[in-house]
Amino acid sequence: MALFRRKRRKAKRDLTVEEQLARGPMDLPFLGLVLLLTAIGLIALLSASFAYGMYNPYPDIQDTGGDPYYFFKHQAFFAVAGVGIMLWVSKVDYQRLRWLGAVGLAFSILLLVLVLIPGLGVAANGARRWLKLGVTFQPSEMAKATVVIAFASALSRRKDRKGLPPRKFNRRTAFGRFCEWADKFGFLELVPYGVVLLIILILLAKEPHMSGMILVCIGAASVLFASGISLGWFAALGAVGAGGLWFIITQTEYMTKRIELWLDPLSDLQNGGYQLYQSQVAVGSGGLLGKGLGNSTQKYLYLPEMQNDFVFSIWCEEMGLIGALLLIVIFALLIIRGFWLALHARDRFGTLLVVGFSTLTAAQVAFNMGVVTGAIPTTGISLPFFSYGGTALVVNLAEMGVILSVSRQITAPKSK
Amino acid sequence: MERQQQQQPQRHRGDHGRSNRSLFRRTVCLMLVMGIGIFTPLIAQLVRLQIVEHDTWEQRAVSQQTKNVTLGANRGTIYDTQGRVMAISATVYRLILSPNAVLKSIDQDDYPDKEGKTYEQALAERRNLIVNWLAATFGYDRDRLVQRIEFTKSGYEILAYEMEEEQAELVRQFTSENHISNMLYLEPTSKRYYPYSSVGSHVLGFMNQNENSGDRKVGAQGVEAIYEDALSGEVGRVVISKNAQGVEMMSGYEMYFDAENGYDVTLSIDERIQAILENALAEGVETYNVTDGAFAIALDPNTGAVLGMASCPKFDPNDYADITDTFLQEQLQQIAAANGTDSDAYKEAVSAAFSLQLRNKALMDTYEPGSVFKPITVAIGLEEQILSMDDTYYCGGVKVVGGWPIHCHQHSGHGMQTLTKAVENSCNVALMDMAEKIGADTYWKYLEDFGFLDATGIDLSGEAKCILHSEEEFTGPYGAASLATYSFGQTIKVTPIRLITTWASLINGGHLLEPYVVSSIRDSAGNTVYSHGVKEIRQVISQSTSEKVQSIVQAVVNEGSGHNAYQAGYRIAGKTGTSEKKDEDTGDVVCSFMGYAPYDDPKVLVLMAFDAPERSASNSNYTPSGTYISGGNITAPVAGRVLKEILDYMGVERKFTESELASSDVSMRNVVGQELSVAMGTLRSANLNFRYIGAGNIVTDQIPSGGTRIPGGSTVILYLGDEKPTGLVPVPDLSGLSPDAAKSKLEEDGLFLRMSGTTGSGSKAVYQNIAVGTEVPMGTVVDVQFGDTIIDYDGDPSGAVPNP
Repeated sequence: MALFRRKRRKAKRDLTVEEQLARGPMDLPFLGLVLLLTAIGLIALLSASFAYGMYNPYPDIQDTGGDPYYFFKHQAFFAVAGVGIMLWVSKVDYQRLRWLGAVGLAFSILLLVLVLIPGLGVAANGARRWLKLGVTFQPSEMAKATVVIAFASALSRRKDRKGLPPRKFNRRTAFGRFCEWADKFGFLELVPYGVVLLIILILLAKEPHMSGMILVCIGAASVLFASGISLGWFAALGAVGAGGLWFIITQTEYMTKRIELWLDPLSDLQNGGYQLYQSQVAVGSGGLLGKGLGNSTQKYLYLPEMQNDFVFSIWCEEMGLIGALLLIVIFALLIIRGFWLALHARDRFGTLLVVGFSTLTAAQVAFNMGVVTGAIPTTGISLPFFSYGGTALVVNLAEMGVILSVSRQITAPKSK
Repeated sequence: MERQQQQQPQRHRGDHGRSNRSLFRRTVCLMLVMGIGIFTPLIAQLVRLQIVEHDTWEQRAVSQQTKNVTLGANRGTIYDTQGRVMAISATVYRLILSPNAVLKSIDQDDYPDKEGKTYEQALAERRNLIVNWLAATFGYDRDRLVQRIEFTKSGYEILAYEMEEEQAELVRQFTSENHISNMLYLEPTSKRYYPYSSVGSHVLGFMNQNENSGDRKVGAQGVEAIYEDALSGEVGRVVISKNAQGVEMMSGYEMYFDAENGYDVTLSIDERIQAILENALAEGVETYNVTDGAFAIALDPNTGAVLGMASCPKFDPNDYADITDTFLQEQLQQIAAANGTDSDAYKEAVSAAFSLQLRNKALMDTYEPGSVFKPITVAIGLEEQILSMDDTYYCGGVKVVGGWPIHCHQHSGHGMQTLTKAVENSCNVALMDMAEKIGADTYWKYLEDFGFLDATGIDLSGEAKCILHSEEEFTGPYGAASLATYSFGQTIKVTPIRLITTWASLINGGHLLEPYVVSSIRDSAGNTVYSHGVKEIRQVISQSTSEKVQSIVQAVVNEGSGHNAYQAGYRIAGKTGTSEKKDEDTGDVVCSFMGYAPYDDPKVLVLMAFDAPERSASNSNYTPSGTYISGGNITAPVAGRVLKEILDYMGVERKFTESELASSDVSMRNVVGQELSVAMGTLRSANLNFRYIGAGNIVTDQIPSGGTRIPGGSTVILYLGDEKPTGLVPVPDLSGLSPDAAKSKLEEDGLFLRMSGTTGSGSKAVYQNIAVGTEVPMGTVVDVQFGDTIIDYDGDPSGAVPNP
């Protein structure tokens, strides 16, 4: 709101340099790819959810009223709204996000705490992920974005410290000596990031929200990685992460079960294995050319939640390998174009922002498709632009808006 | 990229340049990983699923998405030769309970508030509704039902396999009233009905599931099994695409595969003849307490058509697992009483009884045929012209073969006898002499020609092979004993069906035929797709040899050891057999009879045998009731009666000899109102005797009334003056009486005797058709069969020759 007011006050010709930059042209290829994916996503969702909407098999869980277009209508509304928000965000000077990041992060953490409070948080399927404050949404979606923004903002200032002499510590105290020693390895500067990340992860683990944790980590890691944090830390963290993962996979019942299901989806048809199996049936039966758009047979309630995480399997069934590859290519182009924009961004902050969001998008796409095709165990990560879900779609499009905003400030190449 | 490198040094300097190069490198690195790297394995996985494994997944998709509605191919009907329905299929239902659906029908989220119940209460309420109704309506065990409905992993519990339409309708009402038709429902299936229950059970077979048929029932034995393909037809299918809830898919497809109904099979078996055989077996088994069962075959000797094939104990193909045989039931009850029904011994006995009653002894068992085999030996010799009808044989009671003394059943010996007489006497010594003359090589050749080394080729499964010595052994230097014992049918084990088929060739001019039970198969439109004509394997003996053999076996019944099978007017010929079961060492014998009628134009050939009638003591040759155990005493009378009934049923005209004619039935004249002297003349001319009761000159009443058919020579009662018939009289016990004694005993009471069997002075009544003590009107004719005690024991008590 504040942004609007300021704009109104000033006459157009009084624009600052910053503001002039912010009004540069959007990257049209990127915008085109986003719109293309949103459109394909809507079509795919329509086809995938058609039968579910029509048969309305679980009216007490999600009452479609027997309307085959139920999901499509809702999603289309959010898509239109989301595209509007994206365009609006793209016009916002992303430099404002520098301070908004920290505030947003704090706010996200607050929401993550709130969601754990019974009454505010809505539990479903044994997890408390939705916050009901007028509208129902997942605070974890917001956390992902704000972590990227806040980390990008903080890390973009990192280079400013590079030329400075080493910080002084009080060598008389053991703590001081430790700090000095830690600073030499670059450990000290990581502490705040680590603490923030740990807080968020713990809160997410409380929900529990495995996919949220994975994505927050990936978003944060990509920004940290690009900003030049020593590779040694990633190696170390990677080792710790691998160890942790090993522990979780082998020592916690929840994950062991998921892995078992992945290896043999038919071992427990009642709990998720059925879904994995049916997804592979859908993908595999599609073949090279697919059954034709709208002709999926698996969507006739064989594949549970086809409108959520499994839109892609219906897409594969209907459009075949050709259609699946086409979609993958479009996603890949979007991501590569995103990184291209990152490389050309006006400043480090822009670069890191775009890197973070592009990586998040890429990770979601890869995880979702991996699960759907049975390449990796179930994670519960939805496919951006395709899966049914208003919050996710709007947040995704808003993130794209941020990238577009960064693209506006790329300095035009000098004329030859 | 070039542009980028140009721009950056302009904007940043020194350390910043290094830092920016690092940012650039790392971003490019991330771009490659995120833009290309992570998609590569995905593409590989997609190619694997959609190209490499495509067929597998598509198959899985199709199999779950299509509803295969089978279109009933009605199983063909099995008819007997007269068109009586022996087996027919009808639709019945399976009752399915889905405990899982019951569980899911109650939504946990609705509780504890909905209608003031907790979730557990609501679930228990629904379960009780179903369980109580099932228990009350169909009498299912309640505890078992509770157990099954709580097994919630299952979505398919079969509560009843073959529910009839009436009960199915109850289920439909109940489920639709309570809206639980997704939890308790019916599936149509078909059931085989055998209208004549156990008649012909072994030939018909039964239906059950096997490891390959899944939940479909297929023929498991007999004609049902062998003609499974023809009977079952092609099950038609409608393939309908459906959604996961079983509802037809909106943009679905349908494919039709027409059902082809099974073919109808017509047996050569005649239900009436089959029933005659089975009843005779049951009666014989009960009378003589036969321990190891019995079998009988009736064959048309001219075509090889099996008219009846019975085995005892038998089963009811409608419920083949039920033990219905009284003898087996008694055995089981004894074991149950001794060990309890939970004991292993009892379970073993039940399963043994089960497999025993399914066993078609006439096809699957081999036995030593004994004297029934003798005509075969004679036929070989006659055909080879080694023997002649004029030959004479001396029997001194024993013959030493290969250093072993082999005794005749009559240890004193039969003395000098013609060839025919030797067979009549069933003389083992004479037969051994004949076989010796024939020689082992020739004898073996004929065993081959008569088919003893092959299966008969009958269209039933499970035919056993005859058990013979090897050719080398038989024709070798130590074969003399085998040759000698084969000559009278010991140490060779044959299947009943083989023996009767070979016997048919003896009496039909030498033609060895292929026996069969299915005479034709028609498709549902009525076109004959298969018919079994007369199939000759080979001619083994000449017409003239066949005629000679026939004249010999004719004499056996008329004058020899088979005369208990005699039935006046039916011209029965045959041979008895009493064979030791040498391999069992129990002393038990098989009492058999092979006979045919009429002997001048054989219409039916019957083989009947009782395996091990109960003996009064382990060293006794008598039954507890005092009958000498032999084919002539035990089987021949029953078989004679069977032949009589079959011929009556077939409508073969009886032909009487003069003496038979004298006692053949005449029609009682009505003499009431006539003067006594006139009446006497009328009756005499009608070949009837008379006695009168009362005084007077006018016949006021008569027993029997005019028109009643009574045997010629009977004594009728004339009432004179005021005397009147006294009404009902009880039938007296005639067993053991001679024909004359029986006749006078009956006529005393105003009843008449119709004799059958042997009616010589030494004969004794062995069977009466009306049970002792039955109240019958005066003038009733009682059929009584008489028989002689015949001692013809095939075995050699010394047990010289081991079985193969």
